[in-house]
Amino acid sequence: MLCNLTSIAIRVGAPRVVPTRGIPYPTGDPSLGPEQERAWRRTLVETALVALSTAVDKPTVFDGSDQSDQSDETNGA
Amino acid sequence: MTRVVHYLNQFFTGVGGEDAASTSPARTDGAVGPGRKLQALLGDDFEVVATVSCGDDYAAGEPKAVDEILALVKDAKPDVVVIGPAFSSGRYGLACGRLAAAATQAGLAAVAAMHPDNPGLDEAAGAPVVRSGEAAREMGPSLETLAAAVRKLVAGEDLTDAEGRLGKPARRNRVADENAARRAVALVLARLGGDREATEVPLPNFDQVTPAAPVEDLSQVTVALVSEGALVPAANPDKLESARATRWAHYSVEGRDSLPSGEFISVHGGFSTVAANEDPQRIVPLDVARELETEGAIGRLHGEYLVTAGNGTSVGNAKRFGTEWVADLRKSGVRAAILTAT
Repeated sequence: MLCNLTSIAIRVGAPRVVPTRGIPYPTGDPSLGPEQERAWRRTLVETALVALSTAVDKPTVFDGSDQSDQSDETNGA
Repeated sequence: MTRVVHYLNQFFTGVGGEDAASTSPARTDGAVGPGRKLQALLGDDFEVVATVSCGDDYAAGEPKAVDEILALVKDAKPDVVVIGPAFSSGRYGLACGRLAAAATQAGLAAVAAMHPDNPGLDEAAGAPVVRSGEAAREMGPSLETLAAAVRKLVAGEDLTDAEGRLGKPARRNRVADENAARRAVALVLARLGGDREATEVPLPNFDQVTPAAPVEDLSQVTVALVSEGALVPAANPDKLESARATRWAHYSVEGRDSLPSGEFISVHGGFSTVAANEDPQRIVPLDVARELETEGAIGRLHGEYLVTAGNGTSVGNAKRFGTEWVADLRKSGVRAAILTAT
């Protein structure tokens, strides 16, 4: 499950959760240029594939994003 | 005179709709919007001295939002903080639940109102929350419940089921009328008599989801894209609802490398769809999923995506969609699904 409000996803028991950057655009980030945004989307879906191939026994967050990415400042905007 | 500070979202303070959902917290003097009705219900012993408002996206998604909101609330020196009602709105409910918890933690008297299904109820962490209706059309009776709860709270009394108290109330010691053995026997007799609800210790009702086993080799299986982001062909041929959905739909992606802007739109009524409509891949990531299929990272991308609108959806309908989706995907030989959620 790719979503921004990971705390809710965890609480309702979604087994594999990938955090995204904004509520209205789970697999996008309008603050990025088109190529960067597509690369970010690919990272998200690749992280989802990692999650799908990983055994979990409880709700688990898989965060594959690059923490140094400047656009992190736009979280929730 | 009891000083009341009222919290509302950007919609109810008239700041704007989804276009204003990222608005940061602000305070205005006096009662605004539904606060005027609240003031009338509370009467002359109370004064709504200020209204604090925040956009839903900011309030639910920004980690520092609750601290900023609480600071604005405190500056207005409230005797009691009144929050909502949030009805079944998820982001608004989260903000209300968090504010109720933070205000209570800070030693302020506070009470929020929301629908029992609102996910924000858990965020209140035991702070007082009373029942509201499901949607704003039930504003009148919801405010009446809330006003009655405010009066009790200010009088120093506990809120109970009778006042519409939701969630787990704080535990307080008191002397029972009968000893534990007598009460236990009475409960056993009640149960034998067919009463399945009677209890002294209500247990939380957690839905258990057993995680599916991992897929060993994704390059050998079919993967589906599914979403609650209400992305549909522009004409919305199945008339998917924008809120409180009762159905779901499925649309072909066969032969497509992307979902073009203009051809697909989101009809979701719970957030600004501007970004989604500019690039539908922001809801259903077909472009990169197709790329990963071409490269062999996944064996095959399922020929259609499944979609509903997750906006005030009842828990019953949501469970049914989930069950139907799993049955539909299994029948098509899909082994794994990627769900995008707004």
